Amino acid sequence: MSAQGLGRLVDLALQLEADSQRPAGELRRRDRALGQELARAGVRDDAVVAAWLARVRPETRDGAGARSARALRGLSALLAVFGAMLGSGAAGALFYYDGTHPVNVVRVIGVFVGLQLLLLAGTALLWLPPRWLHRLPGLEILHDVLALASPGRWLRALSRLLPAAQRDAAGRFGAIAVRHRRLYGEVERWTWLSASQLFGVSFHTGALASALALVTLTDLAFGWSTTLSVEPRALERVTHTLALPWAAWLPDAVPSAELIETTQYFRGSDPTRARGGDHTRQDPMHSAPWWRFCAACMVTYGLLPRLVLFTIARWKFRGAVRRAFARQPAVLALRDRLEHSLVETEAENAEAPPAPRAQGVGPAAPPPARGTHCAALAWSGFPLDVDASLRCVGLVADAQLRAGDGALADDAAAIEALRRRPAGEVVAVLVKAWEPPLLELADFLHELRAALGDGRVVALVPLAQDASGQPALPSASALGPWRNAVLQSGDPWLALHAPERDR
Amino acid sequence: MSDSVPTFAVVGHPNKGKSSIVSTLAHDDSVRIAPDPGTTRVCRKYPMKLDGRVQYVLVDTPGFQRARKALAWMRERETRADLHRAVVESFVAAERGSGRFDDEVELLTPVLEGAGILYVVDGSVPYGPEYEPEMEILRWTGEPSMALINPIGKADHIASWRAALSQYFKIVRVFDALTAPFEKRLELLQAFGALRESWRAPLEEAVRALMQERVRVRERVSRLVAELLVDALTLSVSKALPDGADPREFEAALEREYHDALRKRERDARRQVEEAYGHGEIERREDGFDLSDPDLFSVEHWVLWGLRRRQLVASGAVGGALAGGALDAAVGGASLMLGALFGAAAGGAAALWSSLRLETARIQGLPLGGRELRCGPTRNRNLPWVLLGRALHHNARLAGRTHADRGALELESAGGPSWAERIESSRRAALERIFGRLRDGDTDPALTEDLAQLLEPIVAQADVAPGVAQEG
Repeated sequence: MSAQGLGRLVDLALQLEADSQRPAGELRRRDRALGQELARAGVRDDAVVAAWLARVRPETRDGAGARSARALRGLSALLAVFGAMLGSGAAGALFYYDGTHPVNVVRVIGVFVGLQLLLLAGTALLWLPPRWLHRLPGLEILHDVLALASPGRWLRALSRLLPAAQRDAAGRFGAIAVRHRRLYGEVERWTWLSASQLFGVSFHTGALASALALVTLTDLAFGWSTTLSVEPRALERVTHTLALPWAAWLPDAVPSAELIETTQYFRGSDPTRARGGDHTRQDPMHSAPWWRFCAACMVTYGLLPRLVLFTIARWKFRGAVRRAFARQPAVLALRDRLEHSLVETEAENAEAPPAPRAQGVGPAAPPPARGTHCAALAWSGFPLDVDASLRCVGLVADAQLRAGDGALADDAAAIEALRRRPAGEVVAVLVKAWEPPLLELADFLHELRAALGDGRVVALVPLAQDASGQPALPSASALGPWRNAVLQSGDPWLALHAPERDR
Repeated sequence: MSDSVPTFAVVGHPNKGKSSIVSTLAHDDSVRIAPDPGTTRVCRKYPMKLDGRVQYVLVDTPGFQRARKALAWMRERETRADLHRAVVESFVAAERGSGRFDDEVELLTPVLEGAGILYVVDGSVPYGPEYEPEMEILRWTGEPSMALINPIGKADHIASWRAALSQYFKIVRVFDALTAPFEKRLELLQAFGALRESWRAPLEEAVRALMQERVRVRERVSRLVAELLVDALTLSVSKALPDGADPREFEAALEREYHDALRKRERDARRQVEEAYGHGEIERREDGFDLSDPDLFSVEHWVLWGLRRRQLVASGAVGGALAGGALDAAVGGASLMLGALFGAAAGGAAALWSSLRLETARIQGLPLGGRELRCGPTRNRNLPWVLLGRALHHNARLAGRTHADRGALELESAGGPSWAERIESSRRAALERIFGRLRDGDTDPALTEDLAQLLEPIVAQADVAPGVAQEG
């Protein structure tokens, strides 16, 4: 299996998991810088992600990916050794010959052909795309049962034999794979399906090696026997059918009718006697074509299919790793960051908190009562009729002045004029409610207070303009800044005169 | 300030939408926007950078607070028109740190450093002569300038403003910072290039980059919506049942867990989509979709967001007919097209049946014995369409939203055909095929990408037809 590919995928999964916790802006800047560096180095297409990974997570011997790769290699080796031992043991048992009963070819066919065909059918079911399993009732549960028995699933149990560091690395990836089953499910699936096929190849290699060793190093006699009523002709048909793949180029590995006829035996009778009471001795030389037939069966129906399936499983595993590496959404987002220009429009620095302008925050003076006579001052181009404006707020103008829209000297003259007015007369400063209170007005009010002295009420009167251009009471939201300005002025004789609008 | 980097100082009276314009153009909702004047006390720069290279800079400035006095200061020292700029420079130099003209000094500094002037007024309030001193000071600086009428309220005083502004500025444009669609924002940026010839090229490059970035945003949004749909269709929660336990005791809790997980996934996706558009925390207003009301799981509400029943049946029938048609083809037409006919009928019926309920817990045996109560993955045909409809509606609202808009994001549907219904039928069939593969347990990680590619043109409609985006 491509343990190295899996190792890189583990590193990628861990890096993407760590990146998901980082601010998006930081990732964009880091990855775009790396993307430009890779473009300059001529790295293109799918190689970009691998090159990126090598830079953000340099591969080390102690890295999680390398440890996971070693874990997979170690587990695969363990599984292969286990498979070879089991295969060798199975062959040893089937080809056991102590000089009494010959090796029963029917049993060899049963185990290395019949059982293998059944297991291949099981493998086909395990390899079905998961989405097909819903289509037939019971298929899913049968699949799950077969999966439990599959040697690839022993990897988890075998992982207990690994060193702690490798076990830990595999466990970290396992946890991510469980959380993101859609992304890594296929990789996990083809990992154990490949491992199963590796076990199968090892099993059959071990069995074949063991059988050939027994044939070479000992003198085996072969025969056939079964409880069932099987005529030699029937077995001949079976053996000839099984031998079709090699009959043309390996005729010595096809048992003849005569051999089949003469090598049938029954355990209750003298094992050295053949069918029909012929006392011809069953010597190894006589039954030699049987071992060739058995070996050919083991290769054709055991080893070769497993080799083919192992190759396909490896290819599928690599494909799954490649797809998980290149086509998962987080990788596409990464390529977006790597390959496209970084556009930044935000402010470079966080905004400073607003500094308080207020001289002081204190209670405002109460607004003048309805009908109060006052000196009215229209501030800064106040465009509405002054009398109408004062009527709107329930005040009466005894004098009208203007300030804030001509020369500064005019402001000073207005202040002087107001200073000369009767003591105790309220000064109503008419302002546009739709404009904000500016510092220029604050300066003016400050100078006015200095001229009038303490105690004389100055009322700010913000007014709105209705659709016909007539004065109107302003909305609460328009009054907000004016109320704040009065509160922050620090002048206890400054009032906000803003009668409530009729509801 | 380098001549090669276009810089624009956004200046004007306090509270006239300077910060809103900067926020909208810089796609930055960290800009403080408040009704009290003087919220902005110091200049704040918003450089537009393309791979680290600055293409242009927007400068948010404090508003004029003592323009009349500042102009009086300058007029006292005025000699000739050719020395106006020098007088402004001497004003800034003399008054820096004096405490008398902090705001004027702060806002004039970038202008005197070579920034173009973007003078902002509110077109929804009447023009007043008190604006003239500040316009005069700006004229004295001699820097290229443009006036922007930003109608903050409903009243229309644009004509009087235009008449007044035209006397001080060669270019006067109306730009609503709160509602300007993406194309209008780009148009305005391009118009800035008219202020100085050398600024035209970098601004055009910046506009191209912003358009490409918008395409990237759509791709990101498509991917995020695709991930949401994939996760929703494959979500399941399970609980191992103790021996002899009555599964009914656990069903309600497990179904609640499943619904909560689905809701959380949708909320997460919305936050990610808002991030893709560069929005931070946005308050969302979704009447009828809080946990206590009938919501995503209420079949009655699905008609607002998903496909109508006949559309669902049609999409199921198309899928069935395709499968049946394949069978007909396999037998060389000997089936007299009965495969397609029966396939369509079966597909339509299955779609209809599956739309009636979302997902209830079911028991299944485990390979090693024991029982498990499992909720999900859903087989319901309409769920992905409901989620898609809601996601597209959310996207449309975001695509039409500027960064100056600090109100809650209104997400309730105002009726009419849902976004899912507006998808053309061939694309709907392609989407349904992927939904079907996901429902069947296909674990191909590339499905998300396939789905995202199908969604891209649909997501882009929010920009192509901003009128639709505004539609409720």
